[in-house]
Order: sequence, then C-alpha cells, then structure tokens
Amino acid sequence: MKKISVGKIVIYLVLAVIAFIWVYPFLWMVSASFKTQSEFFGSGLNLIPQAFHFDNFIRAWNNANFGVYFKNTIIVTISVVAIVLMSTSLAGYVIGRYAFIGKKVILGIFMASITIPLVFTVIPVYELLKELGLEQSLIGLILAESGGGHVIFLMLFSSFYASIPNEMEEAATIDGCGFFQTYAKIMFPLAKPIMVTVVTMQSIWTWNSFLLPLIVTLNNPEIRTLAVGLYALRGENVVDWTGIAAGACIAIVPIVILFVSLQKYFVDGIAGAVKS
Amino acid sequence: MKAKASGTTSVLKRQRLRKINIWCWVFMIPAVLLYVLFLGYPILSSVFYSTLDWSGMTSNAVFAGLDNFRELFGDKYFFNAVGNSFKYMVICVPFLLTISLALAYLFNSIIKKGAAVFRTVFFMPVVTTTSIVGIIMMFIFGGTGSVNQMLGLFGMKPVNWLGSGDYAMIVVVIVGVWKDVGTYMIYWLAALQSVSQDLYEAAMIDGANRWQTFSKIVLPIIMPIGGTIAILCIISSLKVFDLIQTMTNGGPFFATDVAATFVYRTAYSSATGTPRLGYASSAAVTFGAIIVAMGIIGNTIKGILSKRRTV
Amino acid sequence: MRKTKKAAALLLAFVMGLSVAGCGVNVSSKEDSKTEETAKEETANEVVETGKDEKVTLKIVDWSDSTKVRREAFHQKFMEENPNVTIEYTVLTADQFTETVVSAIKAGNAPDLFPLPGGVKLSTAVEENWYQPMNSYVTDDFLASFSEGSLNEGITTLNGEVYTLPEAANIINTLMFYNKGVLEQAGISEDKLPKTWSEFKEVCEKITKAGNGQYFGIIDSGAQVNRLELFVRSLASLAGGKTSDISQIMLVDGKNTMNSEAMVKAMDFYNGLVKDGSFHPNSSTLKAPEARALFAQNQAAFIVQGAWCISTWRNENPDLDFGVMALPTPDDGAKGKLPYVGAQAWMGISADCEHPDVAAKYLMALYSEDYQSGLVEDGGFVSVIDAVNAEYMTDEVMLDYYKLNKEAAALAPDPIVANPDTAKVYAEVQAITPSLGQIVQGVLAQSVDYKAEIATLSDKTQAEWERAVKAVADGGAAVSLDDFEFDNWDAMKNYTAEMYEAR
Repeated sequence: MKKISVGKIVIYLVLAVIAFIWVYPFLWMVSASFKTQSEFFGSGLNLIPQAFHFDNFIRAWNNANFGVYFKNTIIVTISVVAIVLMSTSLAGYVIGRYAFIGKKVILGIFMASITIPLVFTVIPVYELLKELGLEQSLIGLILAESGGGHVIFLMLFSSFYASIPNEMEEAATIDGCGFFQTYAKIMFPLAKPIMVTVVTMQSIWTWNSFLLPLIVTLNNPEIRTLAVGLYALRGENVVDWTGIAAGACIAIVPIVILFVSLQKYFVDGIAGAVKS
Repeated sequence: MKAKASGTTSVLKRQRLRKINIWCWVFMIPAVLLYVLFLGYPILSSVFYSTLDWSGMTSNAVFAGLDNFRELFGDKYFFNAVGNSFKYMVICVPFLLTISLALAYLFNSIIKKGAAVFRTVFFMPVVTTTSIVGIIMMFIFGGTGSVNQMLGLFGMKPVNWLGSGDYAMIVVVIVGVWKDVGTYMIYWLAALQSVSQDLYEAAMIDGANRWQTFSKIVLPIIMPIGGTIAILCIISSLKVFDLIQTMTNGGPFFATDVAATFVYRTAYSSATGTPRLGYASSAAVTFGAIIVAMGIIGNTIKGILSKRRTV
Repeated sequence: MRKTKKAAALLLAFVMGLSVAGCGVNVSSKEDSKTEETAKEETANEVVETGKDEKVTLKIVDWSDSTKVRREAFHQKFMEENPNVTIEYTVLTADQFTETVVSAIKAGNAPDLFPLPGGVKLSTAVEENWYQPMNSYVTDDFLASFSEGSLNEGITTLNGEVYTLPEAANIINTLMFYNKGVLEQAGISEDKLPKTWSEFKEVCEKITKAGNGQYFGIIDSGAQVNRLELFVRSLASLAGGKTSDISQIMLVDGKNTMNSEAMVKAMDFYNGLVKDGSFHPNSSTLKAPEARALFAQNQAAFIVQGAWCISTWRNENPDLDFGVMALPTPDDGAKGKLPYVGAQAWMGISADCEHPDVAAKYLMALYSEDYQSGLVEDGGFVSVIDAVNAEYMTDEVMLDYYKLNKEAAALAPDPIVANPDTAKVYAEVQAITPSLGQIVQGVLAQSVDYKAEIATLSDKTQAEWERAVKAVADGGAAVSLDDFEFDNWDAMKNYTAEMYEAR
C-alpha cells in the first residue's frame, strides 16, 4: 500500500509540472490583460505585470459592446446547442441501434463531406439565408450556426447507444413504450456523458464563431455576438493586444464555468446509469 | 428483441421492419436537414464554383469547364500545400491521439482526487485566443525567444525556429498538439464512459495490473468509437487552418502552406490581380477528393488483409 | 409533429430558393462574355430629399482603424447636430471586409456608405451597381475643396460623375524610420545616418554586432507579403527600375520590370542584409503591427513603414525616440524616386442607400476642416484638403516625413488615368504565385533561389498581362499593351497632367 502512495505522489508531481507548462500561455494571456501595450511586448514571458491596469477591461467591455452582445451570444449559443444536441442525439440513436435502409449511404456522404476544406462557405450560406428571408435575423444566425455534419457527435452518440445492453430496451417494450418513448424516456437520459461533450464543444465553437455572425449581423448591430464585438479590437493597422487579452478573459469566463460545472457528469458512465 | 422477432410470422416481421425503417428516418430528419442546408448545399456550390472563372467579387462569372482542374494539376504550389497538409497530419495525429487518450484515461480511471482540476487545466489551451497564442509562441520560439536562450545555456547555437523553412513546420505541429489535445481528451473521456465501472472491478479481482486492464479490457471496448475519433483527428489535422494562418500565414516561402491556407489565399487575397474563387473551389474539392480516395483505398486494403488473415 | 411540418416547409423553401439563387452568380459561357458588353442603363435617378424629422439610420463600414477614436467622436457630434440621424459604424480589417461585405453588397444588403475594396476598380463596382453618383447631393464648392489631382477620372470619377472620395492624400509608405536609442547604444551618431546601400549594409552589421542578440539592424514584417513587395519595389525604383506602386505593372520597352537589372540589384541588396544577419530573426513571421511594436521595444534600429506608425508610437510608446529618413540609394546614385500614384478611391454612397442626401451631408462633414484637422494633428495622416495640412501638421517627425515625401517621391503615371478602359485589364488579370512579396519572404528565410524565381515571375507576368490585354481588347475595349508603357516618364520627376496629354 505504501508503495502505491509514493507512486501516486510522483504522478501528481510530474503532472503538476506538465500542467503548469501546459496552462502557462493561458496564464500569460490573463496577465497580459493587465499590462500596458508597451509592456505586452517588452516584458517577454513574464507573468507578473508591473502594475495592474484595469483600463484594458473597461476598453474591451465598451468596444466590444459587452452589455448587449453578451445577451445575444447566450441566446444564440443556447439555441444552437439545443438544436445540435437534439438532432445528433436522435440520429445517433438510430444509427447506433438499428440497421435501416440508406444508413451506410448517408454515413458515407457525411464522412466524405467533412474532408473538404471549405473556408468560404459564407457565400452560399448567406445566399441561402437570403432566399429564406432570414439573412439579417437571429433565427437565421442560429440556423446557420447549427448547420453542418456534426460527424463526431453523431458517432459518439451512436457508439454510446450501441453499447447500452438490449435488456433495457426489452424492459421498456414490456412496459409498453413505443419507439419514440423508449428513446425519450429510457435511452436519451442515459447519454449524459455524451451530452456533456456535445454541450461543451458546441458551446465553445458557437461562442467563438466569428465570420458567420459578422455577415449576418452586418446591417443589424443590435443582434451581434461577442466574438464580432471583440474583433473590433483587431484593426488593419492598429492592434489592441492588451484589449484583446482582456476581452478574451471576460469572454472565457462563462465557458470555463460551464466546463467546470459539467465535470461531474463525466465520472459516471453507463454503469451508474444502468444500476439506477 | 431480435430473437423475439424471428419467432413471429414473416409478414409481421416485415411490417415491423418497415415501421422501424420509417421511425429511423424520422429520427434522421433534423440531422439530415441541417446537413443538407448548411454543409451539403455549400459543398454543391463549391463544386459548381469550381467550374467557373470567377473572382467571387462580381455577380457575373464565365463557365470554364474543367480548366481550373487542368491548371490545378500543374500547380506545384497546390501540391506543395497538399504535401504539407499530410506532413502536418502524419506528425501531429500520433501525438494528439496518444497524449489525449493517456490524459483522459489518467483522469477518468486512475486519478480520482484533483482529476477535475487537471482536466480543466489541460483543456485551457482550447479556449485560449489564437491571436494571443501567436504572440506568446513568438516569445517562446522566436529568434530571441526562450527556447533559444535555453539552447544558449547549453552552449548551442540559436535556431530560427519559425523563420526557417526546415523548422517552422515542427513548431507549428508542437503548438497544434498543445492546443488540440484538450479537445480530443474530451472525446476520449466521452468514449470511456461506455466502459462499465464493474469491468474495472472485475479486472482488479482477476489480478490484472493497470496496463493489462487498459489494453485487454478498456481498449477493445472503446476501439469502435476510437476509430471514429482517429479518423476525425486525421481529417481535422489535414484541414488545419486558424493556427497556421495566425502563426506563419503559410510561410516562410510556403514551408507551412497547407491546403486550407492555399484555398483561403487564392479565394480572397492577392497583391496583384483579382482573387480567384473558382480556382480556390477547385482546389478545395480536389483536396477533399484526395482524402476520400485515400480513405477508400485504405479501407479496401484493410478489407483484403483481414480476409487473408481469416483464410 | 409541428416540427416536421416546419422542417418540410423549410426544405421546400430551400429547393425553390436554389433554383432562383443559382448559387449567387450569373454564368455565361466563354464565347458570350467576349461579345456581350454589360450595358447598364443609366436611369436618371430622382433626387431624394429627406424630411428634417424623418428618422434615418446611416450604416457605415470601413477599415480605417487608425482614425477610429476621432471618427467615433465625430459621429457623436454629427448625431447631436442632426438629431434625426443615427450612425451605425463598423470597422473591419480589409480582408474581413472583402470576405463578408462583398457578399452582402451582392445580396442587396450593402451598408449606406462603404469603401471600394482593394483589388476592385471603380468601373467594375459601378458596372455591378454598387454605388450611386453623388454629384446631385454634394455642393460644387465641396468638390472644389479637394486638392488638385485628388479626384481622377477612372479612379474616383466615371464619366464626370463622382462615385467615391479618397480617404487621404496618397503619400509614399516606404520611408525608413530609425530608433535613436538603439543607434546611440550602437555608437552611430544621428548625423551620420547611412545614405547609400553599402553604408546602410555596413551600419546594420555594426548595430547587429553591438546588439549581440539584444537588438538588430533592421526589422521587417515578413508575414505581410504586401509590405515586403512594397519595400523591394521601392528599392528597385531607386535603382531606376520604373516599377511603380504595388499592384501596378509598368512596361519598359514592352517588358515588365519584375526581372529588370534594377530589380535584381534590389534583391541582391536585400539578400545581402539577410545574409549578414542584419534582419531581426523574427522578421519572416511578423505582421506589420508586431514588427512595429518590436521596433518600439528597441529591438531594431531601422524599419521601413508608412506615416501611420507615427501616431501609434506616440500613443503606445511615448518614450520611443525616433526619426525618419529617406531610403538609402544605390551607391552610384538614385536613378529614380520612390513612385506613388495619386489619391485612391475610398468611400462612396451605396446604390441601395435610401437617403443619399443624408449620406452626402455626412461626407461633407467628414471632409470639413473641423474633422480633418484633428486627424492631421495626430500625425500620420495627410488630408486631401491642402489647406488643412499646412495649418495643422505639427508633429515633428510627421513634418519630416511630409517633407521627405516631397523630396524623395515622385508621382508615377497611372494607366487608368491615361485610359480608364485599362481598369478592365486589372479586373481580368489573375494573381501569379509566387508573387514578388512571396519571393522576398523566401529570401528572408533563405530558402529560395530568388534570381530564378523573379525570372519566372517576370515571364508569367508578361504572359498573363498580354493575355488579359488581348481578352479585354477582344471584348471591344480600346486597350493595348502600350497603355502600360510611358515613354515620357522620367522616374526622377512627377508625372503631371500635361505629360499624360503629351504621350
């Protein structure tokens, strides 16, 4: 027993060192948000600012129009995450548990699609939103942000659902649950670990997405998101680095809170779920 | 359930199958719709654009047939970019997958105390703003940066890491691994949740050590989803964009120019002459086709090999 | 299943949309495009008059970040003076602008006022119906207040109608700034600044040696190939290369100047500096703002940049002691001056703008002495209104810069001014890879045979321009290769309006 605890201490020590190096750039960004422009370049890798300048935060807050854009970002992110969660969980369920006509074809198309480096989807997506009459609205933005193949989420869901023992489904059938009820009442709640993954990753992507929100909100500044607002700090000739750092620090907070608060759902996998 | 179904008459069975098929497609509708509208349609547009002589700036374009593709196949900078994409992928993917899996397993199954803190720490690079990352990497890998100062301490000559064609790719890979490991760690964590806690306990009772538990019990269970994570890792590494755009812009002299930066540059910016959205589209479509083709070839080879093994 | 119904409706709308949208572009075959001239109907627009109390929102998008603070204060004031007007102002980078706004313009969602994106010529924009002429909304006095040569046919004006206004007077943006602190540390006195290429090479070596890894001779922004190209074009011009400004192609004896003797000399000089180790080692991966910041951190003695640096340094690095000098000239003397072209097109009123009279009022206020004087005072900005410059330019370095601009630079001929139809050639020409800037980047990284590369670039450029000129000429425009050659151009002198006449 004693030997194990020594081994654990070593693991923790090694991990702590690696973790510090790993998180250093992030810490540096936090520290940079208190620095002056000149100090930003002048002090190299130094983590402690000479003095704490809070005006970077004030400038970032005002320039990025945080007050208004925060609300928009939250609306967009929550809606997008909800849509993506619903669509990938539904599809993942049937892909994982059933063999149906056309499954292989559609999976093949999904997989093949993500190989193309599309860096200019903006043009067709914008044209499409225009045809739908949604090119300057939050709904259009939410739809466009929810779009895509989401192959990784589909696969995560499908392999998770596939690993759920058949007995559970049989029990549900005996209880008189139909196809949809079995999914909604029994299966969906089991998939918490995957939901957490989808919520975490999709939130980050939507939260930071820039180009699409920019073009959709071009003529409608009231519905802009944070990432668009923060971009105002990065100009053609003048770049407000400390402002960017400060803005990034503020914008990251909700994401980190989300990540930390979702942690507990990572620990219990199927085992815990099946038992209960 | 399937066993039960085989006992009933074939008519009933067929009816049930039809019902299931319909339900399956109903469940697929939202995903398919989101795909068709916002990925399928842009891809079809790109295929269409790739046949045009078009700058993307005007509302008129000239149909060029396969001219773009013909030119593309003679463009050494396109093949340079494709080559660099694969180079990046080949170096990046093994590190990304093993490190992220090791971290996920460590924080899921071995360490309990403080696991949440460590998970958060290793996830932080994912949310660190890329443009700030670019600057700090300059302080670390720049000509006068920390790495060189460290080399200096050992009496070694400074190396211009980002500024030389030979080393720039290595630096970009290191930073890429650092930034993306957190993402794949999350995917692995999700995958590990399909391993029941009972299995670990059973393995312990059987006297298996940590490595045996992992390789004999856990790995086989997460293998199927692991394959998907690996394929996804390969594809997204091949499509790397943001990081390279911020750190090197594809330079110096195309040394880190990958497919996505090639496409972006061709589609949007140029010093002299108009941008070429049509040509950029043909490059994007061709690159996608190359990956798909390689995937099919790989699959076929895998199929043949596994057949031989069974014979 | 309301959701399914909704989804079905969406899908239906999408399919219908697809057939109408045609992916957002009209396609013609190759044969069509040659004969078919897009004949735009010149409908005499009715002059709009907006009522005093009518609520108007002006949407303005541009990439003028250097003047953003002044601009926002100006908007505040404008809105106070015109309570019925709300201004929504968005600043992007030029790349983002091209990526997003162009799609919006094509979809009919253009901002009310927006600048002409780089790479697009006015004639193309007008053909695409992006702008409306402003003559009926602005006063003649207003147009007359612009200094001579600011409004040019083909550049800002088409068929006598003014579509766009220039942002600022065009001055050269490749002068050499020096860091006095670094020079002093390296033991170089300010009255012995290098004047020739060999002197410069020597001084840079000396500084780099003295710096011992702390500071270097010169820093450049290698991640921004346009800056690299500008620098080398300037050097080549000094050696008599007649290369003109970036994005221009000039012919001398029917040949482009990309592989001229002067260009080779310029590249040799640049390559020599790299070989000496005189460039800051981070140079090849920096963008211009980063290079500028490191210069201000006393990491290099020299940097080649434009006047906009002055106000940034004054703001962010108040302790930085710097000056500006001319680019060093070849050892056998300058055979040309730094070329620059006249003021370029910037802001115009969108064709979709519903209140062009209000937009015009905004523009007139934007060019008032009241606003322009502030910009000039900040340094780094030269107004198109001459009188403002004379009175308000007070920053010492800026005055030096302005003086040097007059001495070291000469107005180069612009093919579009000579023959507006040449705009079609610019729209036809396709980018060539690697560009001059990219080759220079290769020199910085020492990973390219630049002599071979510029020879190839020159051949490809020649072929592409000949093809483009022919294609445009076949399309019915009166252009020929001669439009890009100016026999009476003396690179040491300004190319004046009379010289255009005398060609």
